[in-house]
Amino acid sequence: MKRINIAVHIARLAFFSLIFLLIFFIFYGIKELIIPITIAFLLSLMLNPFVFFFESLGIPRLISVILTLLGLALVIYIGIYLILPLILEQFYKINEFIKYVINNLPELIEKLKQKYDYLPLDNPDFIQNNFKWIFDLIVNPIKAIPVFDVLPNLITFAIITPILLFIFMLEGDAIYQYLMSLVPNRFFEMTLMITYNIRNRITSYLKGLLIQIFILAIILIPGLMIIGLPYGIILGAFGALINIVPYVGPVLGFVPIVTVALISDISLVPLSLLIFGIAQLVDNVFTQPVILARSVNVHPVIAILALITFQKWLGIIGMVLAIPLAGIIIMTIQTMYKSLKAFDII
Amino acid sequence: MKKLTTKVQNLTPPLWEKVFKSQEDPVKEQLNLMSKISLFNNIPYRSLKLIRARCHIRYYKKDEHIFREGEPGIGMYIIIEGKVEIFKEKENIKTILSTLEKGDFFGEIALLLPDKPRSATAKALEPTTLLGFFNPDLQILMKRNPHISTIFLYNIANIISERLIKTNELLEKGTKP
Repeated sequence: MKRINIAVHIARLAFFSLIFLLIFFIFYGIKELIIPITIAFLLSLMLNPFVFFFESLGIPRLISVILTLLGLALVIYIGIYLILPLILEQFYKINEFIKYVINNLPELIEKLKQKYDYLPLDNPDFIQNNFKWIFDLIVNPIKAIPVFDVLPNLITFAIITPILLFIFMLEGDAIYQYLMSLVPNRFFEMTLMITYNIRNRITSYLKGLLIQIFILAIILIPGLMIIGLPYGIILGAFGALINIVPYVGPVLGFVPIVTVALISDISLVPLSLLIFGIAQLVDNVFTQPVILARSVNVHPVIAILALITFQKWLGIIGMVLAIPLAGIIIMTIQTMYKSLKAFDII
Repeated sequence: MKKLTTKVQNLTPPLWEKVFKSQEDPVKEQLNLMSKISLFNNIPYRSLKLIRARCHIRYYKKDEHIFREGEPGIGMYIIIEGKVEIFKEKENIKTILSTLEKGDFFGEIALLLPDKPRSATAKALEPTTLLGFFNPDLQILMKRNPHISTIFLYNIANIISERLIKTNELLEKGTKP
């Protein structure tokens, strides 16, 4: 009897190992598709509440999904036609500005020295020669982006992501139910509970992140524009986005703002500080404790490691997805551990 | 000759009947069964389909455990086919609480109070097919179809209230001198 049991276990193990191997090779083979799949999955989670809302009004699922996607398309359309040209223009200008600063560093420092003689800038050549790596570090990755290599990928993403998003939103439940039907009876309830908890936590985490970025953006962008800081839109948007990296994020968002203020007009420094301070105050006093309180806390070390790893693996998009994905992985492990303990499996 | 023809006809059903039988939809059968259960009273057939779409069909072998006492439970089961035994075990003494058959349901408390430990063990007495409806699915139903879920929750409240009344009566009988 025991022999049969072992044979059955070996057969099961072999079967599931084969399936996992197959999944692994599929994913390894289509590494490029991981980005649209991840984006479509995260977007479907974020857009589900809107579909639920339409469905609660008695509208069939297909029409609810179409209505939600039309809403998303409208937001993207407004973004592309109204905001994108402004951002691109500023991005182009800031790129030129960085190049100008690098090429004319000694003269600029000399000018600064003459203007503010208390600044300890004795040897401009020394700074350019020895701290060139700082500029290389910032500018080289931007210069290194092969536009013509990225473009076909972007077009592929632009086509595949909406299709995947539509499938996930319309057939998400059916796919989920099919996957659940493969789970053995012994682990069925546990798996259902784990996936539900993870799905819930991921949704609220992503919603929280979006709200956090949105609140910071609506303080920083108009604020920096009103005080007249050059490249206010791009610096504000960058500050709001990078803020999701714990501890280091606010500093990374703050440095370019102050640098631009220092170089363009020193009187803008206190005003920039004030705007950034208000944004941080709202973020630390309201957004984080109230909106993000119940979601996961990504340790800064893990956040930095995730940023480096995902950047190496998936490029710039990987950096954008790094923190949410790190949060999702941590949440999955936490929830699984709790449930496996409750079911006496570990 | 006529007798023989009738006999053959009885043995082998006509082709159209076979075709018809093969097209019998198991989901339709499950929906018919669900419509007869008190849990789904006053829920229109169309809405019942929405609930069925959220349910999970599970197959159990003879003597296979459906859930064990003490484990966290998250939902209820409706018996589509087969028999289920509900029992408690304490110090190797097994107390059978009930034996359930096709059309019966169990575990509805866990549907409302997820994560609470199961109060008894459920085991399949023969090859059994169950339709599972779980708290996560109920939560989604409440968001997507609040009207249907209100009727469903009202039905559960009715069933639990009736049980409470019966338990109180039994308690009263037991405490009377």
